[in-house]
Amino acid sequence: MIIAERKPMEEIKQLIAPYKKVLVAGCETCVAVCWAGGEKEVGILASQLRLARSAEGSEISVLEATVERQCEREMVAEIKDKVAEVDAVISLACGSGVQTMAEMFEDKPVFPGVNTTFIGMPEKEGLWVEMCGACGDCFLDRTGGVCPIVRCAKGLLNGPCGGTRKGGKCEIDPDKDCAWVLIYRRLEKQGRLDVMRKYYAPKNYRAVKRPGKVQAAKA
Amino acid sequence: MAKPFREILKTKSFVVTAECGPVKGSSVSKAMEHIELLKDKVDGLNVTDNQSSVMRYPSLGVCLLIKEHSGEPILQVTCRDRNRLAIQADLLFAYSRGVNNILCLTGDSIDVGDHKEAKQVFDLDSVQLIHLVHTMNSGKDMAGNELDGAIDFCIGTTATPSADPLEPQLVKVEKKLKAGVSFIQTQAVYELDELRRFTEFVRKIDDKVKILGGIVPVIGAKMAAYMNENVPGISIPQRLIDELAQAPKGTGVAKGIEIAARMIKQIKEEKICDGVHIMFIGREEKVPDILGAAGLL
Amino acid sequence: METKIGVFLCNCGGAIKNIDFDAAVKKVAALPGVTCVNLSSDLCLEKGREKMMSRIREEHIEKVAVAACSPEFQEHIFREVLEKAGLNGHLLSMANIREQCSWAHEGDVTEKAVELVKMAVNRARLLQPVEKKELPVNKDVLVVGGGFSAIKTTLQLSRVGLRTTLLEKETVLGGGIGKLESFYGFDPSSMIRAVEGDKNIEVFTSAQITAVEGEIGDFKVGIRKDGEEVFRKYGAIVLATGYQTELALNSGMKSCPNIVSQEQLCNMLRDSGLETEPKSIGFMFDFSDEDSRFPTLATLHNALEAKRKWGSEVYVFYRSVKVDSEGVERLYQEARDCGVVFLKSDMSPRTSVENGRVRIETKDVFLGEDITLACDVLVAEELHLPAKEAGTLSSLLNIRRDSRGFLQDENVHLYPVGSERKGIFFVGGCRGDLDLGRVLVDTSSVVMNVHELLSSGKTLVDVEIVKADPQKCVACLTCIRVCPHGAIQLVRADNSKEVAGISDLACYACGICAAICPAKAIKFKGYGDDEILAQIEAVGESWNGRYVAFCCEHSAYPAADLAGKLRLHYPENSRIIRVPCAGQVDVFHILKTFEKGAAAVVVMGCEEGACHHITGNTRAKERVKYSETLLKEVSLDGGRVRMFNLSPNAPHKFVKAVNEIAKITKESGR
Repeated sequence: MIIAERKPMEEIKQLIAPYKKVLVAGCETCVAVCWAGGEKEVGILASQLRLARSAEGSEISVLEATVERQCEREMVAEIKDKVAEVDAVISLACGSGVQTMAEMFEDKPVFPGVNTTFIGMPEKEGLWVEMCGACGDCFLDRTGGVCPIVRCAKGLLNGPCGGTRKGGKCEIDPDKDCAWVLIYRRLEKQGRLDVMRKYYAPKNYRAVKRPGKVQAAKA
Repeated sequence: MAKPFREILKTKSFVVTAECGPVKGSSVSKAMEHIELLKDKVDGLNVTDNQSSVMRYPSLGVCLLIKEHSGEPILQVTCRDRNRLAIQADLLFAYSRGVNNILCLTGDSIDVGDHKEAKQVFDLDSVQLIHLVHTMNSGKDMAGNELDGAIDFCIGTTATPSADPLEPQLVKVEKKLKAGVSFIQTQAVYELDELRRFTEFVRKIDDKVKILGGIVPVIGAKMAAYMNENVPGISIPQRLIDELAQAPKGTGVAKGIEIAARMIKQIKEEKICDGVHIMFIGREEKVPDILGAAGLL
Repeated sequence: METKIGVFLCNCGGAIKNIDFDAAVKKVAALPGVTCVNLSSDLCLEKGREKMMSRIREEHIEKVAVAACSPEFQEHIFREVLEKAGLNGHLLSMANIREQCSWAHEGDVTEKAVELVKMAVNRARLLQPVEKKELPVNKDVLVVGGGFSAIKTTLQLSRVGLRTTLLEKETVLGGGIGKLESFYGFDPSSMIRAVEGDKNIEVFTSAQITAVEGEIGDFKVGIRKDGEEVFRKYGAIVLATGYQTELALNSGMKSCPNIVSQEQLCNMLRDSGLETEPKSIGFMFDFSDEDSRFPTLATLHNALEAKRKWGSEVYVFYRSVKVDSEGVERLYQEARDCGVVFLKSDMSPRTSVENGRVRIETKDVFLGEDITLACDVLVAEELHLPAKEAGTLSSLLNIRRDSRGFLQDENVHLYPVGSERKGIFFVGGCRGDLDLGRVLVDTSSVVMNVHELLSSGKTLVDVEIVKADPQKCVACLTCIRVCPHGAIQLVRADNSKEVAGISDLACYACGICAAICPAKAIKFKGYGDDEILAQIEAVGESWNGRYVAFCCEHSAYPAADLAGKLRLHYPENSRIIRVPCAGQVDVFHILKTFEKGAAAVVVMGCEEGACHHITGNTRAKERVKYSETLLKEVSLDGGRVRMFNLSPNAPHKFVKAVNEIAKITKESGR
């Protein structure tokens, strides 16, 4: 799912500096699951903003609201009354949610309170790692289910590069595994190393022409 | 006029290449110094391409200088900074000016360089680049269009005999050999048995490709320890570190040269592989000392 | 309609002298929702309780606040009063105006007492009834293992009328019993026969566990036996899977035929056809493995046997001889009297093989000299290691192991035989404890525990005291991963959505899940966000340096009570909120508390490594640290949020902590 991380407090404070009444809007889907923007995080950020203003000696009114999925117009519409009361909105949803809010409430500045980082999964509780690059041309069949587009630092299709560190770690970060070593080991377990020995031609980087669009075949 | 590298590979029993690294700036005076110093002492002279992801005067520029001064340049091309259009265009230009040896590399990650926020391209990887050059050598571009004016590069690539783990690297080496390369310049080796085993592996797949062992002099015990820890693919054995530690203060460079020369001699005498590729970036002026000490001048 | 709240104050037979109760009663009566206020001098005695009961009935009171002594003392008594009066016992909130107010501070404390009552009233207003329900439990027990502890436990379980399955991975029962036979002098085969002949006991050999689901009273266990997989249900699981031994030798010595284990020496002693009787034997123990009681016993026993049977010279190399098991000191004396030589060293002796004999070199502590001895046979030190399956069992049952890999976490609250999950127990060598005397006591412990849980075939549970709202749950799996008691699973709600389901049977009501839930979907009756915030709101308009201390009911709260009992006075500005575990306090609560005006927020929990809920105090520590970061981001720093760890019997530590905080709040300007 989509993983996001709260923006630094300094940045958020600057975004809402001119405003006296703001809404912190959360989302109960991806960002709740990755502890960045669910109802709890909304409450924590709202507290921090009130405490910050109080420390500066000025006023702020902070409303809190959370919707099930901020990227759905119908669900966002449910909080329109709260949005109407404020001068600006900080959305803790992913970029998709922020933009949906911005579109639904065109007259209100909607600011992002988190940085949307990647599509990933929890390696363990509290630790999420990137898994998928949304490249539109999935070839996980050839790599034993390890994606080199995002898990290889250079996105190589015929890896590894010569920079693998001792123990199979990545050139750029000794705490990260070299994706191609992972691919080798996975295919070796499955007895499919012949798949790794094949030559893979350059990728179609235009498989998804941005901005992407997917139309379902039937209504 | 230097003999074409392609021919030297076919005929000479021990091939020697060296490297020069361009400077950051439009000044070519240092490059010229190195070119004058080395062009007649080695069979081919590599020029690095934004090495370590640090922006510098382009490889192609110095290769042209080498050509103009009758040396034999080897153009290093990485996949980090240019997409497939740019690379193809560069190769057309290079060939038109007489540069016809290429070393195909993936390239270091942007993170190790000085423009850490730049976008990494990696539209191609090194294997795909080798295939690309073959395609262009046969008169077509990557999209299948006919070229008005063919090119004909002698193709080489790199390999890391000291990688840990080694097996995935060898899968890639095999792909490169199957794609077709005339020479391999390895990353720095310090344990000649590793080089020997690597050569045996390659020979099983391709008995014609020429393997040049990478020689990077190490000038101090601390530097050696640092390299072991931080530079991927490097494995300097303890006995060499001890030897360096025992060298009297101020003689580090000389010791490094001595060890390098010793390794080169051993490679040549025992025919461990087909030659050496000497990399002494920042100290290119000392390369002749290494060659001298190794008896190659 | 406002909830009718009744408030009952007690002056403890007149012992509470520094509270002006008349003034307090007046102030309390003015609180919103309070329909009656009563002052008693003996609320906990029969007369007082009767009066309380009738008042509740007469005034149709719906929620009750009691301001008296510590709830640790009398909460259950007052809950019974509510039940008798027709109210659910959980609709009670208590204000500790004795131990943590009157006795803790000098001078008049009426203002603080009134505030504590207000906190209790605010909380009472929001309390929800918690029903009790009887749930059936499966009475069958699964004992995993087949050695001494397993067999002993199974036989005892059968005697108390519980049916047991004994599940052994080898083809025969017995485990390491053979070793015990000669040392302890009993006949294992009779034990095994007893098991095999017992109608209440089902024996599975060559069997392995493949899966464990469910919880206490309702475990569903997958068992692979004879190539087939069956599923059986059990109410409780006892692990008695033993341990393995390894000779503490470096690789060079491992293949030497003169270096043997205790068991091998036993076999030699029993072998009537032994070719050469060793003339000198060396023994070693207590160097690499401090848990050496069993090796000590084995050594003494074998040493004496060797002396008697072969007349060999016997040398025992040791670091310490631990004789605190039954009969061992006598055996040690016998061995010395028999001429066994004991040589003490600080470090493991060096061993080597020379000319077919074992050479041992060491520095003797008493002689102060280096000595060298050559023996025909050396019985090497044996390391006691967790059984091979310990890791697999730990994963299958979702339980932690200790730092050496033995089953059972190193948490004092689990000792002797418990695990962090209800219904799962450990006994014997699998816990790393090898003393037979203690093992016998442990089997009785296990049987008592299991009997208590299962014998009636049903158990009374609190219904949904902690519950995940299926509407709000986003199935992030955090609570499932985080619950220290393995009490939460993914279940299908009515609308077929997969959500977190907390088991009433297995839940310990610690609140760690409620605190961590990122969607605020988990509601904890009595200790939820609303109840906490309501208590904080009771602390007046301006806080004037007052702060909130979240005190865990297993540690800091009783420590604070004890401080009061000992009349250890400390500053008045503390407002203690009792929580079931430090891990129930979240960053959210801490920030909201600061937002309301607190000068500091303190979390107090159990000592590290001794949390009743295993990970609660660790989580609290991390959250306190993170809260500090968040507060720094908004220019509120200066160590205002702190974590303290204490034991329930550490009132001085409590007072020290409180005094530290008082320094901070003085400088806070809040």
